Amino acid sequence: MIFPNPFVTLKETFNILSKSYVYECIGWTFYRMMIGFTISLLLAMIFGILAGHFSHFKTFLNPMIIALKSIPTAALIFLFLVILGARYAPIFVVILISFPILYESISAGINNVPKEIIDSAKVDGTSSLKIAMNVRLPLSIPYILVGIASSFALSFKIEIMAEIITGDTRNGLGSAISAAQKNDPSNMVPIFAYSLIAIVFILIVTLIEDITTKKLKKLYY
Amino acid sequence: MKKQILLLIPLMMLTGCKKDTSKLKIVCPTGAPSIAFYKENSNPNFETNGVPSNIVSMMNENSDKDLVVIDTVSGLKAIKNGAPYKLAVSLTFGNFYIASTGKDDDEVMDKDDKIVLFGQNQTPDLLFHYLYGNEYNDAIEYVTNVQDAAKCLITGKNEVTTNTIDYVFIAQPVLTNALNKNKNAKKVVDIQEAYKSKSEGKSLIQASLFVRNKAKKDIVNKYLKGLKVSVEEAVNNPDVISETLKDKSIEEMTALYGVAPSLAVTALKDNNGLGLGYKKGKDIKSEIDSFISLFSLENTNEEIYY
Repeated sequence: MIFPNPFVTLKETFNILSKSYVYECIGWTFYRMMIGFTISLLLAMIFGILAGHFSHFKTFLNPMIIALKSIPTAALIFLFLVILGARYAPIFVVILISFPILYESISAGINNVPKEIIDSAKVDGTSSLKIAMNVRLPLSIPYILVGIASSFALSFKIEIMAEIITGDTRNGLGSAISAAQKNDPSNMVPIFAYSLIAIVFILIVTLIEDITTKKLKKLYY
Repeated sequence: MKKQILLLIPLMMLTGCKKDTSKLKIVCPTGAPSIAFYKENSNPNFETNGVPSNIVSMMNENSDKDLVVIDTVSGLKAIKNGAPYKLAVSLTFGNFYIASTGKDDDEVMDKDDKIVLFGQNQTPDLLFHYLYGNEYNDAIEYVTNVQDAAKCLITGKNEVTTNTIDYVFIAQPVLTNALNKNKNAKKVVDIQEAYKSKSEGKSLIQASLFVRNKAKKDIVNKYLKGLKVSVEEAVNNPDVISETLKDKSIEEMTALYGVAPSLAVTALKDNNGLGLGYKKGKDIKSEIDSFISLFSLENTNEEIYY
């Protein structure tokens, strides 16, 4: 039987949730994912604004973005494993996976600001920098939020997967799943239980994210 | 004030000179060899990795790992490919067994039985063929790793081929766990003993500790002395492991060592089932050469020893 009994899995989930270890694992996985995600968001902001503003820059970056999107994730993990070691490799994998998604949503957002608004700002004598920061960026926020929403859950999944592939055994959901599998290979219950915890956690985070997005949209429109 | 500063200087110098072994960066695969480092459970510079090939990739010129534990063959191959490390100590001397699933009516391993082996073309496969030749080739079914082999021992079936399995080549400590789950299963061959009798009393040199060439010798030597004591303590009295780890979270330790501490203790109590030990590489050169010849590797040079 590959799939465990759902009731047994639920019981195991509550058993795992009753121990502090799982919270440390969630915390560490989330923390490492957030480091990667924040760096990625900052880089995407810089490059996205520039690409949205200057079409030549976007053309120049395009091959690199396509390459980043097509490189197999596993290959990246092994590369970072050699360069940075098992501890930091997952963070960099998260950066490289989420960057193209965030970059594209930001540059698309900046690009899609109606030309009339830009023109009227120019007529008023507003500088290019001010247009970028005070007009283009706020108006592209819905696009940015869509990018964040779509890459956030993905980053969390990537972080867990990278933890498993790098084999790192520090506290983390990936290493917890890996340890459960190694300790008792015939018992799939803990693996499903940890996965369920990860799903519920990301659902909660996504819910918080949705509420924040709605509030932000209300704030800007 | 000046006096106080002057008094502090020699104190600071002494502190600076202290051979702080906790600063050594150590990496070890999870499983049997990692149990040798049971005292390092809180050392932030000690890390384990569940994927041995990832550890080999850390043995490069830019690596910051001072001590690397890895299976002897992979470590020697890495050195041959330019890894700046030297073999210092062998730490595990085999934890392989053949266990019966309880499905074989005559309870004698023969060509008609189904035998599961893990790690095709790797240590388990090569050892099995060294001991039994090609006699059982038609009976063998390969699985990817020891965890899958354990599944076969527990269920008596290979999930992939759906065949009923009679014998499984397996390693401790997962064997202990599997034996607890399948009461009909039992150990039938101690591979270490079989290897010893076939190779004129030589040991199976499974995992060794490699020292980075740049590592400070005095600190490493001090650390190795302590490690020897720890390993001997664990082998002679496995309960020392439970005692050392008693205040730690079981889940955290299971993740760190790749095995629940209680399971490791049970395996150790079963005639040192993990095969833990401590022998200087230089002292067992002939045994190492004999073991690696199974993998078609040439005899080692004196230079590769620490």
